[in-house]
Amino acid sequence: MRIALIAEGSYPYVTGGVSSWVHSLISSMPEHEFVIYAIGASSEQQGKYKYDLPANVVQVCEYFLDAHLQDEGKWGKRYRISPQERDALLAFISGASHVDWQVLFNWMSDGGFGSAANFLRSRDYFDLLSELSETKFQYVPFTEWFWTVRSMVLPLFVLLREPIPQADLYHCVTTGYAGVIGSMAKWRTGKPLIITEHGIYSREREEEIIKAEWVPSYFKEQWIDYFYMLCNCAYESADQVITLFGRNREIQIELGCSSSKISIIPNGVEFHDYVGLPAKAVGDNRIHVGAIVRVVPIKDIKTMIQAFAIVKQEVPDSTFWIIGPYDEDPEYYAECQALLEALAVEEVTFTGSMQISNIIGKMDLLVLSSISEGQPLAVLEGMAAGKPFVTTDVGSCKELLYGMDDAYGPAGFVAPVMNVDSIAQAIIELCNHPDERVRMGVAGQERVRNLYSKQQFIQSYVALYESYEEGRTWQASALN
Amino acid sequence: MAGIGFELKKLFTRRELAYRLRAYAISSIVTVGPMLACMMMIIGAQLVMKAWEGPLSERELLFGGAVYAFVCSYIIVSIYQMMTTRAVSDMLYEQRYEQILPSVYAGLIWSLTPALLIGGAFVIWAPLSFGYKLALYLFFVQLVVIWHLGVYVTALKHYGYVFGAFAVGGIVGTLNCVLWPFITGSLSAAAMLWMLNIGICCTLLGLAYAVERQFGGRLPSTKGATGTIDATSATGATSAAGVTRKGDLSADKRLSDEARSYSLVQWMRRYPSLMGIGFMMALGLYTHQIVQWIKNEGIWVEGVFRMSPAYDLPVYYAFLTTIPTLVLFVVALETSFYPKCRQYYETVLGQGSMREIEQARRDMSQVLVYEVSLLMGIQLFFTILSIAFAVRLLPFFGFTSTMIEAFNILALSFFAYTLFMVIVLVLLYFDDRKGVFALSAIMLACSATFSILFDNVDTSFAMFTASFIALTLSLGRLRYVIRHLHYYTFSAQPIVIKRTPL
Repeated sequence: MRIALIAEGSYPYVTGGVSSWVHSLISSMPEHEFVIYAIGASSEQQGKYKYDLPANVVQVCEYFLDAHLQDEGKWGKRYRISPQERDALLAFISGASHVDWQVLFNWMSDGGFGSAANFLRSRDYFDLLSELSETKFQYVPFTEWFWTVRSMVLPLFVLLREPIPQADLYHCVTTGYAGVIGSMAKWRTGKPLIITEHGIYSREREEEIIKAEWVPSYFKEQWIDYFYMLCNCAYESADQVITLFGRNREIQIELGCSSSKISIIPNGVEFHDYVGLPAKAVGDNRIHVGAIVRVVPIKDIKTMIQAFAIVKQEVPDSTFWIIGPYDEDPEYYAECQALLEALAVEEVTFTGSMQISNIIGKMDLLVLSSISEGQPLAVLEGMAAGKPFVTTDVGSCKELLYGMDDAYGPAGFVAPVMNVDSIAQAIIELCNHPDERVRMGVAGQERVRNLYSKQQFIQSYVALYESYEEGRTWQASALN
Repeated sequence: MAGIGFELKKLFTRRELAYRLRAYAISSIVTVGPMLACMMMIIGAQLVMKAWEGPLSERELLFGGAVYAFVCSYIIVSIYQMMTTRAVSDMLYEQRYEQILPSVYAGLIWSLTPALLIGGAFVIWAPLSFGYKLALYLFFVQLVVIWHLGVYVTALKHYGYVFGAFAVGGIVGTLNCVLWPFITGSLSAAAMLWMLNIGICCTLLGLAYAVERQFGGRLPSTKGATGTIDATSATGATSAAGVTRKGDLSADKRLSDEARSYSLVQWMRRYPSLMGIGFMMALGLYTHQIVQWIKNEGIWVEGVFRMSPAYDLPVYYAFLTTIPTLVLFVVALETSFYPKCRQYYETVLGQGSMREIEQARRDMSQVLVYEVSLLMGIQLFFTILSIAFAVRLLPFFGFTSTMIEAFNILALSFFAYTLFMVIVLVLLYFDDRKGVFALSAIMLACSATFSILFDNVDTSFAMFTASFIALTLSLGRLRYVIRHLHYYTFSAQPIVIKRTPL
């Protein structure tokens, strides 16, 4: 079967949980062909893959959100828009909760549409904007609103004009832009659409927008609505929505996804890869605290550094290792360095990208201070390696560390998000109690071995794909 | 106009009659000053020659040469004039003052090159006395320089110098013409042209000094000076383009730091249509006359200049009837329309909601309709007055009834043409280059076609028809653009800003 995996802002350009997940899914299913539909942020990323693509990847379609820079468009073009199309467009531009995507897809596929830039410079589009501004956005500065809406809808308009690769099944790794592309693919080809949502895309964007300084306060709601609208499109179109844990499922239902579509397939790690890893040198009595993270704002490295400054005062012989790439957001990395200097914290090392199996065994405990997560692979890997964890209360961390009514016991501590003191106290607690570290490490290891194995995760997807393949075979035989 | 608005507005806010008169005087100087001064000097020279009963052939030669120099220099400079006006407005708006003076010289090189070549060809070819050819050559080249400096004159603040330049030039030129026959007894066209050249040279040097003084070493970086230029300089067209450049001005400033030189080629690439517009507008103004020269009624003056005296004189005088519009237009535009236009773009660029932007558009539109109607009314009044007086007075200047008839129709033609030009300039305030390009092309095409098709006597009527068609279409276009101004302002802006680096 040929499966198109639609990834946004992750595989194969960025390392991290979702990308690792995609890579191991593809690598574990040599019997299927995969087409990667990758949506990147910047054209500079083109061809710069962070992974060696497995042999069963038959095609990579690369699209970038800044692609619109290539198209200036021409103004003055007129479109024939039916009342239905007009309503759909109005709903889309205003970020309404319900948009008739079928009508929109149909209209955009029409040969007369031309380029997205042409439409956004057309009189019809301007008339729609003016009408909206009269009815819904009377008091916002029009110029800012004009540019905001343009920059909001342009990337998607451009993406929707791109060709859709042929596949037997479309599998989006997130909702958002990828989800809309998947929906369009389903609409065009009639092939099934599956969505695996690791974190909750719309919630993550909402957090991002709320914090973003570049979005004026009076436009935040519109940006947020826009992303919720994109996610709704994906939820509506998908045949099946897969999530990693129960809490996400509840949120998805809350956001309007039909409960009957949602099933849970947790992440998994190859347990044996984490057994017998190189440990710290004999006689090394220092406490090594590690964090397997990309150095990006959503991982909240700054809180982690502040917490470690407190830890360092209580546990002077502790060291701190931030294990993961720091080139993704150089500005943020520089801020972290500046914070380290300001706090005068010593023995903090940014290792950069590295094989985590070489270092994870040398750690005494691991930390994750993310603001948002799905089911972090880093936590599963650390637990598999028998390391106790201090995490923030995001995604399924609580479920992973404390278990869901299982008998393994806690595998660490869960602290509130951005709460420096709580995180620091939990780390200090583990630093000062070696027995507890061991006990919690073992509990985590057992939980991962029994509940979050890679085998289980892969088998679930094999079965999922097969269910669609059977359908396909059945359809084929029926036709014959 | 590169910008005289603020100064005029300041004058108009003071109610004293003296100030009001001064304001009109200033706008007269900067708009019609160059043309009027030259025309008056030529008429003066003609009158002197007539008074001394100089030979008709010499009078015709002087007139023929002057008209050719006038038309040719105007058409050559017009290719760059509109674009230079826009460039200077942009520079003033973006405070890239250091590029203004280089632009004066770059424009001069581009205008003078064809002028020198054409003039050179004339000097080699024309079977005339060397003294006359050289005088005419110099006259023609000086006119090119004066028309070119005229663009910058509108942006000057030292009107005293400008006025002085025209006054001294005019007086010196006319006095020379009057005194020369007294001293030498010569009434040759060549001698008269040399005398005029001295006067024109005075004007040219005065203007060059004023421009150099304003934009040379002392840049207007002091608070007061910047304030004046800020308020006056941004034409509507620039403001419209300003929407594109939201947040982009810092980049311009950076650019200006890096590139202090000015290259006309870059502006040509940026606003190619303005070159076409300028050229077609100028050509459209003279086509009927050129066609008339070529037609059967034309005569050869000294075997060199194809002329049509019975037509050229009415054209000359009829053109003078447009002075009220040329003067009033600047005052109306800069003092009433421009502030509203600026307010509209400020609302657009600022925090204005759609309702506020729409209100600003209506306010501007109202003022524009009022000012254009007033201008049409006043010009019509003067045109009718001119026609009435012409019938009575022109016979005393040797006009025949056919010439008076031509004058009457031409006065009405120029009424339409001048208003058409006003509308075109207003459209350029809204950066409607495409529309204006089409309009000027239509004007030129109509004027050429009708002039060729109509009978000889009806060449003036051809100009009349072409001008009225152009005026009607331009009014329609203006109405359309004003109605859809929001769309023009917003959607004409590219999705991505790709600017030709300066």
